[in-house]
This record gives sequence, structure tokens and C-alpha cells, in this order.
Amino acid sequence: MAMLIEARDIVKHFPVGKGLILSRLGGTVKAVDGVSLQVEEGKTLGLVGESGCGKSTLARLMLRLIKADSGEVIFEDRDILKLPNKDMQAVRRSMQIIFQDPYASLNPRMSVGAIVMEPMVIHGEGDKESRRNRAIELISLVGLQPEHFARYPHEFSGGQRQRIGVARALALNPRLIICDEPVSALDVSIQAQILNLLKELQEDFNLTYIFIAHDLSVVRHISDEVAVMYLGKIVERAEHDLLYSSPKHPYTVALMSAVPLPDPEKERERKRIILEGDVPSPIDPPSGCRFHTRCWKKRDICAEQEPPLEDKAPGHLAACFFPENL
Amino acid sequence: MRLPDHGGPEDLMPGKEQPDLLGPEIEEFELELEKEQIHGRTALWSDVWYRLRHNKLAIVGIVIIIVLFLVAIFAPLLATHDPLYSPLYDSTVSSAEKAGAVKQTPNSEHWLGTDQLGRDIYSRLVHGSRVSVEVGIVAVLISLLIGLLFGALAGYFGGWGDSVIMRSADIFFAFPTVLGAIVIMTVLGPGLINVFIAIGVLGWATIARIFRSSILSVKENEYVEAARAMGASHARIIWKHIMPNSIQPIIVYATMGVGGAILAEAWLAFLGLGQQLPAPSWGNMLSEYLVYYTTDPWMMFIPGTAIVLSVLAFILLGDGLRDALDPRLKGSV
Repeated sequence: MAMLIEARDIVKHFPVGKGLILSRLGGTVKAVDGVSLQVEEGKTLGLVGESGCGKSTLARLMLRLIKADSGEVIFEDRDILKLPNKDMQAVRRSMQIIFQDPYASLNPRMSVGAIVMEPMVIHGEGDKESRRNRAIELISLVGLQPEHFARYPHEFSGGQRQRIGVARALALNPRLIICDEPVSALDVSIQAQILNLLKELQEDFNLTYIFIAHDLSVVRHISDEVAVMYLGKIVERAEHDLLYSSPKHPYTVALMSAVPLPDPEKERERKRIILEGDVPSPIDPPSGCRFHTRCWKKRDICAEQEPPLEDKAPGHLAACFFPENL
Repeated sequence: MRLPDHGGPEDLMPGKEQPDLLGPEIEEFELELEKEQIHGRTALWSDVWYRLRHNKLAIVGIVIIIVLFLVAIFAPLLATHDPLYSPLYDSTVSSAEKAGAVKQTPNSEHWLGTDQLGRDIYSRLVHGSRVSVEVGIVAVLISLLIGLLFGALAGYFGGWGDSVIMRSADIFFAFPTVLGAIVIMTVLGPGLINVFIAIGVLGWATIARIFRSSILSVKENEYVEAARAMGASHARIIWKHIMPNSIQPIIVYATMGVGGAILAEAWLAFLGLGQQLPAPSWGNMLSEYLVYYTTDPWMMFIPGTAIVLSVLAFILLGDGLRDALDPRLKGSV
């Protein structure tokens, strides 16, 4: 299978202070610090990690919404970070994003129809009539009614708004959709609806997803492959079954142990790992393995050397000197 | 909306007690819902109008403003006399008549009396309204043009352009408006057009600052990022996404600014820098009549009241608009 998108060693550091003096004194937030990943066409990569670990920054870097400090993003066999703006415009047709907050991601002054038609207007697709028809088609496709065309976002619930966001993302028949925590702002019952919608759309249109979440159970439902991020780095990456059945990195193990089980008896017997302390500051991340400050398996080497992200089992990458489940 | 009757068998859940219905509250809620349904569709601007209509003070402001505009537009038709005609300079009028023609108190011939030169005050007031309306509109438009452009550049693009623009705005802030206007008027020379320019140019800094801060908060919204991800141009993002969501404070400020410009014109005319005599404006009428405040104080109250009422009207409307545009703010400022 061909890779649709590949990120190679992407780095993004944000200066902490603004202005001439502060930016030199304050250091930098190492939001994304050398991340590589690939996604095959038609597949879903789940990207999980705690708040502030750089997931959303990575998504925006891959869409070139913010400028990367270094690294490459290969999309459709071209490094899009080096494309001139004019060529980038054409690439944007094929890559779209769905946002976390359904209340902030729709312009309150535009009707649903105008929101869904906007990508077509920007890319000069079709005439007024055909854009309108396409928008109505999309609105029905995501499970809303055609008569919602003329309504405004404030008349809809969170789940419905998220459907509008999905319709907008689909308007130009993209190949890649980056879903930036698309369900974490929704009720659990609505979450399932949106996830199922995304799955159906993927099958129907051969879409490729990068699905960001801080919730492993949500990612489990939708992903083919899962990558776990911690403080701007990927610490583990594997096929979804492999990762869930035998997590290798202690951080992943700890994350999994935090997922509640629906069966109360199993839930009672379940051994939970409670990590000590907070996520260290990304301004001055720990030396060596970034997780060593909270790891129960920590030894001297962990603070001295950075463990490479390498195969611990076939198709199972992890960055740890003492992996679990071997 | 009629509530279901208590005790009707079809209303009872089997095996459950009929819940206590809160009659009037529910009815009110239903009404509210219906309102929402009617007004939801046509959305935001009709919502604003709906709330504005229920604000009595804003309605008072609107009525005064409409009257002011009508008077300004139809001034030649409404005036009963030539505003410039003075019997003192008319050789066909005898000197005895001349003595009786000046400073008449209001009467059936001269509704608001006559001034020290025997001119009809009502006609001068009606013609003077044109100056106030013109200054109000033109000066605010000039401020808006400059202020919105620079505010958008500063807020949207940031960087060193932002610094340059906002520091220049600070320089304009450092001048008291009237002093600044006097300086500009001294350079450009007296005259109505120069009043427009002076007041307009001095007003841009506030508008730029308000618009910039409004943009700074709006541009962080994800729908702006969504537009960028679609490949929308900067012009489109500013015009379609940022402008409609950040213009409300500007609408309020500009409305009140019209009142401010009317007041500033009066100020300048009072100092002899605005509309030049004998052409009437409320400001120069006030400065002329103020001289007679010991002998004929009623004269100065006529242009004075007109100025106060029109400034007040714009402030009331601006205030009402602020509440109507953002009901959450109501009572908080």
C-alpha cells in the first residue's frame, strides 16, 4: 500500500516570551521534537497523548497551518513544507481538518449552507447552482436535513455542529482528513454517532484519517495503527491490535490502565498504575528518556541516554530501554 | 399554547403520579421557545433589532435621530425665513422697524424669536442641523476608513507593523481631541471641510485600537483556522470571518462617535474655526448668542438644547446597540 502522508523528523519549538529580550531569555517550548510517522492511504492513524504533548501542534504542522522549524512532510510524493504558496493552495484541496470544539469551529455569522459551500467557493469549484446542490447532498450525507441549509450554527447541538464540520471537510473530496479530537467535546452517546459516521465515510470515500485523541478507548474504536506521544515525541507506535494487547512502553501501559472497564467485576480486579507527578514542562524537558521522571522502571541509563524508537517486536516500535510485555 | 388538563387519563403515566405542572412558568417557556423559533431562522440581525425594539431609551434615541435627519434633509422646506436675511442690512426697512426686529422673543411670525441681527432663529437652527449631520457622518466615516484599515492590519498580521501602527495611535491619543483639532485647523485654515478632516483624522486611533483588540480575540477561533486550512486568502478571512464577528464594538463606538463629532464641531465653531459666519451652524449660533446671556439668556438655550438632544440621541442608540448586540453584557458595564 502506498503512503499517503509521511512526516520526517518534524521539529517545532515555540519561543516562550515575545519581543526582543524575553524571547532570548525565556527558552523555547519544545512542542514537537523530531516526530516521524506515516499513514497508508485509506487507513487511520490514532494519535494519543496527554494534553499539551504536542498532538494538535503536530496536526497543524502537517497541514502547514503553522511553519515547522525543520523536517519534511511528504504528501502525494511532494514535500509540502517547501511548496510555493500557489502550489500549496492546490494541495489544500486534498487535506482537511475537523476541529475539537464544535462551538468555535463554525463561523456564527454564516449559514450552514454558506459554511459547507465555502471550500468550493475558495477553490472556484462549479457554479452557484452546483455548489448549492453539492452542499445539500453533503448535509444529507452527514445525517442532517436538507432544510438545515439556511439555518445558523447556534440553532444546532454540539453533535449536529460537528456533523456540519464534517460536511465542510468533505466538500472538496479530500484524501486526508486530520481529526483533532473531534469527539472529546461531545457526550458519550453522541461520540459514538460521530465515530460511526467517520467510519462509514472512510469506507465510502476511501479517506485517510489522522485521528487525535487523549482517550485510548475512542482511538481503539477507529484506528488501524496507533501512535502514543509524550512531551513532543512519539514513544510507541504499532498496529492497533498489537498495541492494545501488549503495550511496550511503560507510559502506554499506564495510559491503558486508566481506561475504565465496563464490567464491574473486572474493573474491581483491575490493577491501575497511577503515575506520580505532573507532565514535566516542555520548556526544559527531562534528559535522556523524557518519561524517566515518572517511570517505575527507571534506571540510571534512562536519565543519561535517549532511547531510540525501534522495533521491539515485529511492527511494534517503542522508545524504551526496558519495555514491558516482551 | 394550551397546557394539558390535569387529570385527563391520557396524560397520566401508568402507575405514576401526575407530576406537578408549573403552569405559568411552562407557558412562559413555551412562548420563549416559539420566539426562538421565529427569530432563530432570520438569525442575528433581526435578533438585534428585536432586542433594540424593546429598549425604550434606544427608541427615544432613534426617534430623535430620525427627526434630526429629516430636518437636515428638508431644511429649505421647513425653514420659514431666509436664515441669512437680516433687516438691519435691508435699506427698505425703517430704523424704527429695525429696532423692533432684533431679539424678539418667540412669536407667531418668528417661532423661536429673532437674534441680535433680526434673523429668524428657527430658520437658522433648521439650516444649522445640516452642518451637524454632515460633520457627524463624514467625520465618523473618515475615522472608520482609517481606523478599520489600520486596526485590521495591526490585529490580523501583528509583527512590527502592529507596533508601528499602535505606537502612532498612541501619539494621537496623547493629543486632547480639541487641542489636536485646533492644531490641524490652524494648519489647514478654518472651514467646514477642514472640520470634517480634523475630527475624522483624530478619531481613527480609538477605532483602530478597538478593532485590533476585537480581531485579536476573534482570530484565535477555530473557524479562522478552518478557513486557512481551506486555503482562503487573507482578504477573505478578514472580510468574511473576522469582520462580521468583530465589528459589533465598532458599530457601538461609531454610533456614539457621531454624537461626539457633533459636539466637537460645536466646540470648534465656538472658537470660530468651523462653519464661518454668517452661514449658520449650531456651534457658531451658540457662540454668538452666549454674548447675550445676561440680557437674553433664552437665545443660547435654543442651539444648546439642539446640540444636547442630538448628542444624547446617538449615545442612547449606541448604548442600546451595545446591549442588543451582546445581551450577555447587559448591565455589566
